[in-house]
Amino acid sequence: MFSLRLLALFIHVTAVIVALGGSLFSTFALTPVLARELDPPARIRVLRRVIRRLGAIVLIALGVLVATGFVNTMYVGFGALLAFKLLLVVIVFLLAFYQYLFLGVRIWRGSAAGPSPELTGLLPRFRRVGLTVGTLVLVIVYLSLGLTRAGSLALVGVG
Amino acid sequence: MARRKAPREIRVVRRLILLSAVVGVLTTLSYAAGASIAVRFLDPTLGAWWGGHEFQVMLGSAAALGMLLAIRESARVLEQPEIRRRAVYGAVLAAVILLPAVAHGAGELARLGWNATGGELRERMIVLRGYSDGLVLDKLLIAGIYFLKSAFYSLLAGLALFAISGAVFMFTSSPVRSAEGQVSR
Repeated sequence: MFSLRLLALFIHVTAVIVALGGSLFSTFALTPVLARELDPPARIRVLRRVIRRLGAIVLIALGVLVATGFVNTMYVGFGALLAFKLLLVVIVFLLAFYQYLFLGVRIWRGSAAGPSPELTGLLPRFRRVGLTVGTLVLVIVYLSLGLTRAGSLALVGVG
Repeated sequence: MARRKAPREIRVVRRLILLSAVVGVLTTLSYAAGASIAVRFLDPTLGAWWGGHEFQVMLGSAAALGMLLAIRESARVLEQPEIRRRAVYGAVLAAVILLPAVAHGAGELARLGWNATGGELRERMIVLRGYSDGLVLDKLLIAGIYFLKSAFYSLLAGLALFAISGAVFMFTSSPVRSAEGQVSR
């Protein structure tokens, strides 16, 4: 019932939920509501704080994902599917760095004095990169299910 | 056109990458060729020490190489010098502290999957280069693949360290003053 593998898997899944859930909530719920309900100066004030806080949370979640992913790999073994998944992980990391440490920091710093013309191009780009990262993470989740579940389903004769 | 000089932190990381690559190549060659026996002839104490530690040095240099490459490539994405400097130095410090743990973990993971061992490969090399050279080449290939796999897993660890270092920066960087004079975090 309680094992290192289960604990690592639990933390791994929780980190995915935190990283993906936070980004999806921000993109599809928070940003549209802010755009409708707040005037531009107030909206930017809230958005820049959200980006900063969410960026730190997502980046820490990604770090936790790698640490727990190492433990999980010990149990699932290595194959072409895992190699492909790990390549996608590298791409996701670089895109997340671009999203939060480049675009996010630009938005955060550029909007310190309120809305600026620079933000009109940065915010949609931030959103697009976020959606790309989210899609890639979903592909990674699907591949992970293939890695962890395919073996057990085959054992009980399903699929 | 004059080439722009890279920032100091990137130059430091580049030098460390070069150092770990050189140490990695030398120890991999030494491990594969059993060079510790030759060292024993010259200095028995040193040869014994080297024979007992060359694998750990090879694994440590693979881990250092992987993590440093990840840190350098991640730093390319950053634009602001202050952020880049803090994130790079933070990640390098964490990499130094965690080097033994990452090397151990990456070394264990590198044993999984294809590792270039197999009769067919060995036979081919023996056919191509003769028996004694073929065996050395076979050992070299196995050690080389192990080194590269360890470095790749460490690269993932390096990305994780850079992510956490970047996140710490996002929470602790200096506040920016707004037009109204309010400190805005």
